[in-house]
Amino acid sequence: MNKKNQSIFKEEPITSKKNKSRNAKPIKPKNSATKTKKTPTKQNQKNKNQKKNSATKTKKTPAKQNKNTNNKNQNQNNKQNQNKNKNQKKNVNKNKNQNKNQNSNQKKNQNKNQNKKQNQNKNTKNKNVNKNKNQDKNQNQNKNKNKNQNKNDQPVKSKIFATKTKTTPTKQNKNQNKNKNQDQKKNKNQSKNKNQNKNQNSNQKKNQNKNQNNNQKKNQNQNKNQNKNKNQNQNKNQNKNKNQNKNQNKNKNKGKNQGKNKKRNQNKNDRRTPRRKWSQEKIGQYKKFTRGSGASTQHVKDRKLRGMMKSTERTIRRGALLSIKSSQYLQEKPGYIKVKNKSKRTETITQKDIVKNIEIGDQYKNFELNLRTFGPYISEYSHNGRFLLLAGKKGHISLIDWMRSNQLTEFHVEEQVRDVAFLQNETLFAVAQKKYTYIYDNKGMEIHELDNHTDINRLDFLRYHFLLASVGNAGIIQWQDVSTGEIAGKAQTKLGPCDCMRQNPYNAVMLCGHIRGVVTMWSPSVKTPLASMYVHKTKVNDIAVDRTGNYLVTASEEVVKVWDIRTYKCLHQLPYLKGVSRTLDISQTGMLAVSEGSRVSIWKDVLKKPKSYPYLRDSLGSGYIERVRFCPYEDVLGVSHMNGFRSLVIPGSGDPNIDSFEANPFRTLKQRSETTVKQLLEKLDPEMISLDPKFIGKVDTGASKVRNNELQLMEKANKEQSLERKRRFSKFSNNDDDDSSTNNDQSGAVITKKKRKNKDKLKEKIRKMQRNVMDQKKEKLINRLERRKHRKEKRKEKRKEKRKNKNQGIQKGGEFRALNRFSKRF
Amino acid sequence: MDTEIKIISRRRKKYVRSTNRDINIVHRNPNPESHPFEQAREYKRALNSVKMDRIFAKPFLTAMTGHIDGIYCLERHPKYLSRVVSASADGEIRVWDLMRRKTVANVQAHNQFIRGITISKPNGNFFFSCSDDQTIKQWRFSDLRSNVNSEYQKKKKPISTFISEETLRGIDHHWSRHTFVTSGDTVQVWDHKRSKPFQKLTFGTTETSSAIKFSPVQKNIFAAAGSDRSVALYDLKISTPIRKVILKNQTNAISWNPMEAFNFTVANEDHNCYTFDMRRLDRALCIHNGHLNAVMDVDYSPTGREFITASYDHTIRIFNIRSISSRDVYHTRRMKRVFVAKYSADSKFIISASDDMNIRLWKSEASKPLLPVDRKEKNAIKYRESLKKRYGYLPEIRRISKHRHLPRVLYFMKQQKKKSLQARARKYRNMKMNNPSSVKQIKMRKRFIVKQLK
Repeated sequence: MNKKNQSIFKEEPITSKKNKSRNAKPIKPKNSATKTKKTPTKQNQKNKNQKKNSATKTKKTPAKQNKNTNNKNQNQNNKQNQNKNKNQKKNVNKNKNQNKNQNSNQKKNQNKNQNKKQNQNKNTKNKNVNKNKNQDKNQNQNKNKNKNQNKNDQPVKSKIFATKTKTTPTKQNKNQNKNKNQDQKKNKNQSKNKNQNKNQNSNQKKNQNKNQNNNQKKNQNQNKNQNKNKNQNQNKNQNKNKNQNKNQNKNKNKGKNQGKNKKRNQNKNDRRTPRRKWSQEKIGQYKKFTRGSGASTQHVKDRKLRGMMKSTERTIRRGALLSIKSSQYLQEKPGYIKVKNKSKRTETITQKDIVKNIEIGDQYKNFELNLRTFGPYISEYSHNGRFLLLAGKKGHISLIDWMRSNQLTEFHVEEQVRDVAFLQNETLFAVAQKKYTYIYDNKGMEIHELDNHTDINRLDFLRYHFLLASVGNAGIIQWQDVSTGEIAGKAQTKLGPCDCMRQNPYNAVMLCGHIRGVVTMWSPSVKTPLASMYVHKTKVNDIAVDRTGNYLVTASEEVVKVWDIRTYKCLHQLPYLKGVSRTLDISQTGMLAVSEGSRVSIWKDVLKKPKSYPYLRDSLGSGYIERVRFCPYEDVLGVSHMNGFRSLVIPGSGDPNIDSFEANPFRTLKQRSETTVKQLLEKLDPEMISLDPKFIGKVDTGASKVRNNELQLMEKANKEQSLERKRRFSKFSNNDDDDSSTNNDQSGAVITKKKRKNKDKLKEKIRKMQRNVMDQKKEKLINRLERRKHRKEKRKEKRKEKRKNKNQGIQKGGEFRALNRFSKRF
Repeated sequence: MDTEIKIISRRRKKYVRSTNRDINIVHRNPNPESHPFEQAREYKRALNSVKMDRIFAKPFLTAMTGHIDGIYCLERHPKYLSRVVSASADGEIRVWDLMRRKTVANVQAHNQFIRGITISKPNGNFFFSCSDDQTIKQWRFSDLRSNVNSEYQKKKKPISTFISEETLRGIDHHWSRHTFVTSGDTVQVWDHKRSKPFQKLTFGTTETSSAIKFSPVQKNIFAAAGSDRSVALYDLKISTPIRKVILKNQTNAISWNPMEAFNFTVANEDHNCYTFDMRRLDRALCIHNGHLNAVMDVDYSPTGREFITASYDHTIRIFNIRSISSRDVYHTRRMKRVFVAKYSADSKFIISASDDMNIRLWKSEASKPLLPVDRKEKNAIKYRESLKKRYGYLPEIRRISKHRHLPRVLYFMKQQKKKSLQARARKYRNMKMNNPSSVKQIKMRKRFIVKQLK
């Protein structure tokens, strides 16, 4: 969070003057090469210029910008360091958005320049438009007198990167690089210059290069002079050359367009300059709190309804603003690890280091329980994170208030224990034992024996639905309503015994991982899986879903994959793990804990993008890990293993701010009973479980579908009528065209689109090409097409003429003469 | 150290109240991620609140006995919330205190059927009663109040008696002046200090008008319903009436909207109520249906947003002024044909008088608590209201919120009426299809109107 904030604040100020100066201080030109991520290089250079020139005016007229582009190459030859060039390259890759915009610029330039310069380009087979551009610039430079160029030089500096990046989309960049290599060989003149002209294009003729070289020397001299002048571009008085003025005028015209483009580019590149002048973070929050874009009221004809909709939208917006405000005053801040030495990975930090660094009051969160007798342990945290349920495979069960290290109960069931699950609060929990499932209370008393659930491997409790879900060796998934005792749903997975089941906290759909490497999703009201994904080639060991319901993580053998549930696609795979990962868990903040044999690795921000190394890693030494669970609302990871239980401190894993009405670790007994009543009142029906939990607020389109079906049936019934009409129409149309008659015969009642009989390769090619990019190829194709059209028309005309001539000849009864064809008879 | 590590550390002080007397500390987190199933849970809450509404819907408060005959007139005092005057068919008038639920004063005012009572305004010191014996009597509250059931009761006398030459069917007092109007064969305008009416108004033909009501906003205007099925508007400033509309059935009562000066509602014999705009009587603004027998009385709430109707079908209904169907139906097993129903001045209560010699007191909002509620509960109610509003369109919630139990007889009557209406509609549709020329297409809002006279 903090890092993000910083970056946001750094990026924000680009548009405003004050911030520029503020930015200028901390960034040194040398460091800029390394600090490319946070600070766009544009800025760096601007700052440099400011330093050098001590320029006060930051805004530049469009005309000046144009000049800048013209003098690009020269500037590069000037004082600019290699560092900057490196920066450029990096920029190119990063600013993809920029590149898009640049394309549009390129087009314009291309179109203008193509006609003139294609001849010149014959020597070099340039597919890149950029080169053309550069050529033009070079030519312009040559035309201009040296002095003029020099004058234009300095303001250019700041703009180089902007223009450079414009001209380099990633693909083109590669080409450029290739060309560069070639160029370097060819252009010995260039290589003589100490300043490497890597970015200069090879298209320059040798003469040009010579000129340039001369210019460069002079430029250097003149730059010194210019440094004294604060506003170089406006210094018309100093340089009274007519050529210059002319050039400026020309450039002004071009510059207008470019200026517009530049503005657009800035807007797109700098996402932080939003419409509302909000920070990116605030915009994100706003989107989150408005819960998606609202309903559009434009299409609503009913005025009353429209008014109502508008007012509800307004209230939603107001609510979002309020909650933004209130979230500013949230009390707790999320945990973090900051490493000052950047080369050091957080992975190397051990629990010992962490414990040393945190406050003494919080050190109790790291603890270890050695429980060797009753075999591999499993653990479960209560919903509010305060209670911990430990169960040994050999029958030992204990309920602990771990925050106060207070054991509430401990007993032995003298039977195999396979899984445990808390029910609505810590007073009740279910235990899957050897044969049946039992429910115990917080004093260890057996309350129920659920003989419906036999041979159960996994239990899970759906908190808002009061459903206890279970799956076992029979491969049957079952939901039982804990409040009423009814069985809400039962389905056979038909995929063999199952020992892996988790709920999707976003929509309460149960996910089962199967032996065949398949993950299936279940709802109690549907007998078949809602969805099934083929996830691994081997048995699925464990699965976890994050609380936004967007990402699914599956583990099998030594492979852990991250999936997007919305698209059912694999996003990426964790890099090689050091052991079999039996269990995994996702924290509230989206951290992923994965067991690798006897180690645990914790991955930060891994759901959205792949990472090459974990955030933290810890090993137990011996004994494989049986279960890994994050403690909600705490920065704690509970690791239960062969020989007991270990609680690790993982900074930043828990949601720092609780909502007392959702989960309150500090709740009193009275509050607990009150919330239980409320929970029961708000118990959701099992039928409400579906992939989209928000379906309740949405409009049911089923009715309209039925109506549409009816309409279609009507249409079918009236098919004959319409057919007749068609026939009549076809008769009529037959007179005009021969083609249409065949079309009508096929179609029947429904009018179908004309199918293309003969595929036109040329047209298809044009169609296939990107629409918004206009390049030589496409233009050629279009020209060819036009020419062909023209030819066809001509041929048609000729034929017509012939026919006419013939007819006329016959009618007249005259003889056919060869000379007739030259006579015009209209 | 080269690393800086921070973890969540909650200080107990921030989360737990210091003493038992303190309020519990509540933390909220607006992040939608920490509130899964928001929509579904909200829906469930809305459902619960609607159900709770139905559970707590106990509108009937009390029945007040005392009259020996059916009660046909009831008037609330313009100044005192708890004071109500009622008159029964045997000629007895009683003054009630609603707070104590007792008769404060009573008098045997007439020997015959009392047709109307009205209280003088704005002070409300007197009230007038008119009877079939063609007299109007003026009474003072303070004279009657003392010595209930005492010997002197017989000596209780009206301040003045007005003798009319015509039969009297109704009476209403002007909202500010010392004038009142009576309806009968003609509409007569009286003054407190004159023994004879100073003005007589008719609309051409002679008619016996029954209900009569002054507009509370434009005080010189009043509406009267005639036995020729008409509703006529009169103006005290002009000697001739303004306009008149004849409906298909007779009108039993009229009430003016106190907030929308132009609008008034009419209780009709054809089970419906019609809201009219005073300026255009050729069509109704809204038709309110739901009753299963003639509507005997209508009265607007002081807020002007709702009105109640009393009906011959033993029920009271509450309507929103713009809605066709009623918001609520009140009935009890012992309540017979209801002839009068009035809102209390604070619009929280409804007073009804019926054939069974009882006056009944109802809550106007069936499930609202009567006692003052504390801030928390108020907020909870507010929240529930907004939920109901938001999810009110969903079928389950709508069904529950609209459902009202009706007595068995009424339920079957309702079914029957529905059937007959459907049959009529079907017939109309068939006629329209098969013989379009025979059917005149008239808008619903104009169908019940015979003609408008000016």
